[in-house]
Amino acid sequence: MTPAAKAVLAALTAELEWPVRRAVEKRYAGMSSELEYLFALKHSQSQGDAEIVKGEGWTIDRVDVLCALNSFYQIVLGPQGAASRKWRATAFGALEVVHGSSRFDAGRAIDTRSMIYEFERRFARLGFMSDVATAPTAGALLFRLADRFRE
Amino acid sequence: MAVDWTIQALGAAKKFAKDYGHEYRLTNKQLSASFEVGSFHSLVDFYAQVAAVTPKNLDNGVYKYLTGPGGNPENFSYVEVEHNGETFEIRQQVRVRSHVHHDVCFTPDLVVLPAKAPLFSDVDAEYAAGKRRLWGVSSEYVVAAHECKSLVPFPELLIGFIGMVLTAHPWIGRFAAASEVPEGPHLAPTLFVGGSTQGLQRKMVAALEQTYPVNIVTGLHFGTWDLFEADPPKRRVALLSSKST
Repeated sequence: MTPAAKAVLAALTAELEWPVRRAVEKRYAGMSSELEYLFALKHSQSQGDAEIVKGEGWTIDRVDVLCALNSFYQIVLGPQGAASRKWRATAFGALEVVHGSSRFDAGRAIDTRSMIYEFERRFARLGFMSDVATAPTAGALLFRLADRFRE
Repeated sequence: MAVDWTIQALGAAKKFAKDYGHEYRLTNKQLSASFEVGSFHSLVDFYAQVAAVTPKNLDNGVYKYLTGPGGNPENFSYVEVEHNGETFEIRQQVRVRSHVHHDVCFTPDLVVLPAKAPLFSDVDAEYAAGKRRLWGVSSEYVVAAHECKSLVPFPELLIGFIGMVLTAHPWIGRFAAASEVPEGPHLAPTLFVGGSTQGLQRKMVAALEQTYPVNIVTGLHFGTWDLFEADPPKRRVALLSSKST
């Protein structure tokens, strides 16, 4: 776990309730350990991926930040994005759905879509795009990142 | 150069937290609910392409989503689906009593039932000390049960879903192979998954979809939710529940 990634994660999760923050940190810790292992490998497909991304200026610190962003995205933003999709069924267009203490309506969906769009826009500048946002593991993230540079 | 990049990343994270922290600060339960509501949208939209869908049993115009098996389904909203003269209901969190054994009961996230499928309402001393009724429906009525998981699709999650499918759908036992299951208007039992697959997991998903009459839809945190026009198409099954109303 690199200091930069830990700082990014701490900034994003500071206000989250403990169980959610713990879930994000747990996912990140797993990815980060895997990444460290993959960067240290000598002979494997992932070692080749690591060499490719290193050659493009991606240090382990930078890729580790992508793991932190991936963890935050998958645990916190992804589920919220799910509920903010536009209904195709017209009977539901303006319908408010109450699920326990949560309320889902068209206004909230617009706000959520806007928030996720902003996250994607701001971090795309740093190389965090859909391919790495959805990566299930650090190995997959590294593979997809390397894929951008493969001929 | 790398230092600049990490400083930029930290700055962007702090700024995003400042701008949107109040909005994304949800509890675990609320996050889980969000993904489930998204999956529910997707299922309703699937039916809306071929059938008339109507929200029913609203509470002052609000769709009251049943969030757990403890509530009487009659007191919560549901979606009515009318297709070619037949009526079905999309319901949430309805307990299913399995055909495999009377004591095997569980609660899929979403379930499609024939309209007015009878609910059992038992008092069991071993459930809430007999103070609350145990509501549910027999698996004989289940058209399709669906699960929603806002997770990475790890192998044990996929296998757990197959267990649910076999336990909730007696009709599956009538067919020797998934390819023999007749096609129809209903979305086959589907696992909605937030995370995406890679490598071996992708192969495992394909193998399970080939072996069982199911859909495993992954990558929903970022991908398309259009189940009706999905490419490759999602599996659809005929009305196969052994009991209808």
